[in-house]
Amino acid sequence: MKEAKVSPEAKVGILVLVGIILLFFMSFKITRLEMVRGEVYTALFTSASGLVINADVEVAGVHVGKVEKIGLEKGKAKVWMKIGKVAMHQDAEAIIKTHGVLGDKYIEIRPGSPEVPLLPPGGTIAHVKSAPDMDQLFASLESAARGMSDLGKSLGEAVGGEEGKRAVKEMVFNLRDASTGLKEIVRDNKGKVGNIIANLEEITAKVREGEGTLGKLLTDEKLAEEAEKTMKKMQKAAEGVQEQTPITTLGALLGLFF
Amino acid sequence: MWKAINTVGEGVAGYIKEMGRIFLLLLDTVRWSLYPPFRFDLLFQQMERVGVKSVLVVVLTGVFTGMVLALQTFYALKKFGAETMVGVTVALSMTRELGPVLTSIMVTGRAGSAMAAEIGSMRVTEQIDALFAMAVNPVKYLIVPRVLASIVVVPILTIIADFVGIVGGYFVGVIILRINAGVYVANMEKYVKLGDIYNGLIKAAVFGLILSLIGCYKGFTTTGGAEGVGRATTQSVVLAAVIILMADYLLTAVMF
Repeated sequence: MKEAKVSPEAKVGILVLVGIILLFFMSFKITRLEMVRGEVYTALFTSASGLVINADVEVAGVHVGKVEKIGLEKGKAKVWMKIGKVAMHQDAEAIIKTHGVLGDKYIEIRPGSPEVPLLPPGGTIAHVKSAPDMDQLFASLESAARGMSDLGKSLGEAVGGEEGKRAVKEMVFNLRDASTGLKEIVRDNKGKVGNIIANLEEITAKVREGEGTLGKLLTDEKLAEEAEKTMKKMQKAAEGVQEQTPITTLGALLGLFF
Repeated sequence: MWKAINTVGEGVAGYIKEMGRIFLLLLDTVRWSLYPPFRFDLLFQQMERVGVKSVLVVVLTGVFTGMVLALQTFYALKKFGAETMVGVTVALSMTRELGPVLTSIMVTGRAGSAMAAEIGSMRVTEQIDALFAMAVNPVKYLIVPRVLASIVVVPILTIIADFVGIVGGYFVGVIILRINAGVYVANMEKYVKLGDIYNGLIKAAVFGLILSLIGCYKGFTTTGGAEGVGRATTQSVVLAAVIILMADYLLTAVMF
């Protein structure tokens, strides 16, 4: 016994303590020990498919309780929910919804309007809805697809058949007549079109030679020089600003220290 | 031909006999652990040797297992956009499976082998016979404290491994791979059940029994001097690891 040693008992004690603390910590983390205080309400759904015991009950996305029990009553699914923190009114609504596409089922509660009298504890929420689940979604998609195919069919019926074909053909003929008409107009007024083009040529030539206001603006060298000067000045100014910056920053820093 | 069958038969019979002897040793241990006087000093000594001295190696194993799990499951789950489930996967794998199994295999390597070597050298130097001569029952004096200590301590080490593994997974998932921290933790709390943790702890206790019993048995039946001690040590580790993995499947299937 030359040095003060920690006895094996103490070491083992610390180990056991650490183990128990960690076990309690993890257990508390994963079991929401918020023994939901509240009242039990029931609701009758046409289908509680996918809903499980302990599923969340939410109001406006906030967790307020959980599903206690699921049973059958007169061929409908009866769900007992424990709901706390929220006062339920008689026009409250319960809707089975899904978190995400593959998520869990939960019950969304709308507590109802404040003017309506309160629902007594244990009461039944009268207004229920089952949000469309995947089955229903697929069913509605199917009906939509059927509608599309009906549309296609009726379109086919309208256009198809001898009468429809004739109508389409007529349309094509009309288009052809219209385009030949346009061609004839151009051919008949050849001289006039030529004049228009000649006028345009004259104008562009003037512009090129620097006559007229537009021409001057484009070709005058003085104007160009002045523009260049302005640009250079601006560049210098910008450089000045750039050079100044580090100095001022340094100044500010020094100011901070002294 | 006849000789070959004979050899195989003898081998099989040998294994069956060995299993029988291990089971008898277990019964002996249980019987002697119920009789006073209870040697708590020996129990604490063994708990310190098996438990406290294994903490570092268990923590290292746990952290890196959790980290690599996060990395690997992230790679797989990213393929269908479920990265936020990495935490759940890490936590469930650690608590249900890897925590108990890796911990007990590490403890087998550290402490089970030491038991076999220690008791084995006592056997070959006739110290165990000396114990008998002094009317001290070697099962009570040597085996009971080791087995009880392992049964208690391996679950505790498993909790530590679970915890540091989950922390390591969090570190990789949230800080390195940048998974949303809130969703990571919320999913973990949502999908991990208390039963998952206790499941792993029951397994760990059984593994503790297996590794200490086999270590003691191999030491107790050592023959052939220093070489025999080496053989007993090696055999105890291999046998314990194999039996732990087999028992793991059985226990998982039963408690699924």
